Amino acid sequence: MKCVDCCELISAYLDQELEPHIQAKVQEHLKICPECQTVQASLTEVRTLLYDCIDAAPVPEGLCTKVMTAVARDQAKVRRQIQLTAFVLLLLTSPVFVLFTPLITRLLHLGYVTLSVVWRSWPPLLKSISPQTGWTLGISALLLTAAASLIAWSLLRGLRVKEVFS
Amino acid sequence: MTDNINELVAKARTGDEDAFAALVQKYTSYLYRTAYALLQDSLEAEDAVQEAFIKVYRSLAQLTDNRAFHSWLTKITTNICLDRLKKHRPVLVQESYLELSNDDSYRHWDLRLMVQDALKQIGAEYRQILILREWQGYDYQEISSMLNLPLGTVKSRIHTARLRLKKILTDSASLKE
Repeated sequence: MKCVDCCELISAYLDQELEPHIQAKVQEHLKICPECQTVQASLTEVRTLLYDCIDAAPVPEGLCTKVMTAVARDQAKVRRQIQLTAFVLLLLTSPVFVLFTPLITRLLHLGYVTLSVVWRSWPPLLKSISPQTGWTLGISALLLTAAASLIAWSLLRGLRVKEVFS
Repeated sequence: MTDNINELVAKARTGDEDAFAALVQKYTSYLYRTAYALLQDSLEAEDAVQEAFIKVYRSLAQLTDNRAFHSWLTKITTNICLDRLKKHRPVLVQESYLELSNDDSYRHWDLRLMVQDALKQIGAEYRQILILREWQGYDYQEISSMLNLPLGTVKSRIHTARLRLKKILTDSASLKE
C-alpha cells in the first residue's frame, strides 16, 4: 500500500469502518511506515483533544431547574389544550343528546319548511340576477369558505382528541 | 449505574415525577455539551436541551425498551440541534471558559480554547459530522442516515474535518510560539 492511499484511509481505520481486509492492509502499512504513523498519531491526538474539549464545556448553573420548569409549563399547556378539546367535543356532540326533544324537533321542522321555501323560490331568484352579480356572489362565497376553513383550522389545530379519550 | 437508569426510566414512564427529575439531573450536562458543541451558542444549546426534555416527557410512554433510553434521548437532542442548524445559523457568542470556571490549570484551558476556536473555524458541516462521530460515537452508517448523506461523503468529510482541525490547531500553536 502506498502512503498516499494509507493517509486517505487512516480516519476510517481509526474508526474501524473499513472492510476487514483493507483494515489489515492499513495496519500492515502502519507498522512499517513512520510517516503514516505520524499522521495516525496526530489524528488520534485530534480525536482526544476534541472529546476532552467538549467534555470540559461548563454547564450553566440551574439548567436542570430551567428544564423542569419548562417541562412543567409545557404540561400545563397540554392540560389546557386537553380541557379545551373536551369542551369543543362536548359542544359538537351536544345536539345529538337533545336531538329528539320536542323543542329541537319543532326547530328542525321550522328549518325544513324555511329551506323548502327557499329551494322553491331559488330558480326564479337566480334568473332575476345578472351574470356579473352571480360571479361576484360566487367568488365571495368561495373566499368566505376559505376564510372560515382557515379560522376553523387555526382554532382546532391545538386540539388533543387522542388524549381526551385516553 | 445502567440498572439504576433503567429503573428510573421505568418509574418515569409510570408518571413518577421524581424519577423524571433524577433523569434530568443525570443527563442535562451531557445533552447540554452535545447541543453546545453542535450549535456553538450557549442560549441556543439551553433551549435545545429544554426542547429535548419536553419531547421526552411527552412521549416517554411510547418508549418500548427502557435500555434504549440513552440512545433515544441523544437522538432526539441531536435531531433538534440539526433542525435548528438547518433553520438558521446561530450567532457565535465568544465565551471564555476561563470566566466560567477556574478549577483547571491555565494550560489546559488554553488548549481547550484553541480547540473550541478551531472547531468554530472548520465550518458547520464538518463540525457537526465530527461531533456526531467523536463525541456521540455514531458509526458512519448512522451519521449517513441522520444527515442524509452518502456513506462515501461521510467518510471523506470526517477525514477532511480531522485534517482541517489538526491544521488549524498546528497553525494556532505555531503562532503562539
